[in-house]
Amino acid sequence: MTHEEYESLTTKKLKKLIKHTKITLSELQEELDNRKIDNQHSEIDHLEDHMEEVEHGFTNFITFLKDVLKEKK
Amino acid sequence: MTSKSKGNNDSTESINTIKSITQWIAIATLVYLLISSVGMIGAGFKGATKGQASELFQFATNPFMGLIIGILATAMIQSSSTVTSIIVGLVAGGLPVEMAVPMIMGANIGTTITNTIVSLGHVRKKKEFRRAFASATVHDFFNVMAVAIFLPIEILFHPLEKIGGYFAGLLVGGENVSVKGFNFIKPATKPVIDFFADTSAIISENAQYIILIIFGIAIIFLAITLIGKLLKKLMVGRAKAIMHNAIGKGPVAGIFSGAVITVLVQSSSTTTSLMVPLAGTGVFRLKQIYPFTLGANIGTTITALLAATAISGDSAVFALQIALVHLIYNSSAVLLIYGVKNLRKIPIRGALWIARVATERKTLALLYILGVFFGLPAILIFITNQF
Repeated sequence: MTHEEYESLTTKKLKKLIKHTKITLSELQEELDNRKIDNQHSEIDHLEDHMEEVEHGFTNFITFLKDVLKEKK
Repeated sequence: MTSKSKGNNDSTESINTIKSITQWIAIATLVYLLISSVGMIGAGFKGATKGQASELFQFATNPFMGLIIGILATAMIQSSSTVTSIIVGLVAGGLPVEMAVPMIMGANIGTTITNTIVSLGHVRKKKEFRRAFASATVHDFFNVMAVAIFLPIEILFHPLEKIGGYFAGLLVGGENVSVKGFNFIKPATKPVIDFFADTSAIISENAQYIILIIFGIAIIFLAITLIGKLLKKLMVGRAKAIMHNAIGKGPVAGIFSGAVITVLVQSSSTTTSLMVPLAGTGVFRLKQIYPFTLGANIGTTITALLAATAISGDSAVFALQIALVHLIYNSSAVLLIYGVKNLRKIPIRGALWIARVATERKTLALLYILGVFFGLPAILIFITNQF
């Protein structure tokens, strides 16, 4: 809707539209929050993989050092 | 399901049960060895110093020196549980609690090196590295801040030492009792301690107590490392359930979950390191990771408490006192820093800043690690020697 179209609306219709938009916005926010939570649950389901990653501290450090040296060059 | 596949399932299940039972027996044996080794350090230290422990540790009368010892020892062996258990053993052997308190605080800083190293694994993906590095360094900032607040207060008024002493006095009984009602520890650990004491005497009569301390340290390190590895396998399912349960329930649930997971896996480094990849993916925000990290600080104090049960006799009260100091210190730091809104934000801001800077120039990340864990102690040693 353009600004001109808004101007043509009655105050009652405008209020109704605002109310409707607020409800939609809150529903969208809820959906977004639920998706974030679902993603977090699914990430935790891969905890074993993350535990393995944690085991490779020394390898990580060497990879990092190589990158630092590359950056220096 | 056919009878053949059902039979296969049954046999796999029984193999898993046997495997699990074997692993739990191994953990129980390792805990027994851990407790015994703390007793070995206590006995060795008492014998080596002949009651003059405070003179031997004269150099650590300066609390900053104690702090440095704690930072360096923990950063080098990457296990605060090992260092705090050794400290409990040393206190049992005569090291004054006053000197041990800064060492405990230093162990808290030193342990944060592990998750920082884990975060370096994300270095090749810029955004991921920034998030991972921030989630690791928030622990550094928090622990350094806790020391900056609590160490001067402790030097001036000794509140942690006094509160720890009060509760240890309530919990510990007479001369031949370790923790009230748990006086079975001494006879249970005596055979192991005696075996290693005799072995040390056979190796060298002159250096027998030093050898006994070395045996104790080596066994603590091995026991804690192996317990950690076994518990990680056994407890991953439970850790998952706890984390699933904490999602969307706010920071207190996060702190509680972090503490419980750390108790289950007996390693704060494991808990805090686990948070790093979770933050790296961007699915968890730094604000959500932060409370888990603080919970790990509280949960890790269980190891020193467990180690303190190994000590009986006159020194039992001091061993328990230093273990309680660890618990009280970490809990108070969480209450104060996380409880006060303005203080709570400082570690987050610090971590986000250093992560942003380190992402742009990786050399700075390296300098940061070397600076916090090795440079800072070196500067403190230099300043301490000047005054």
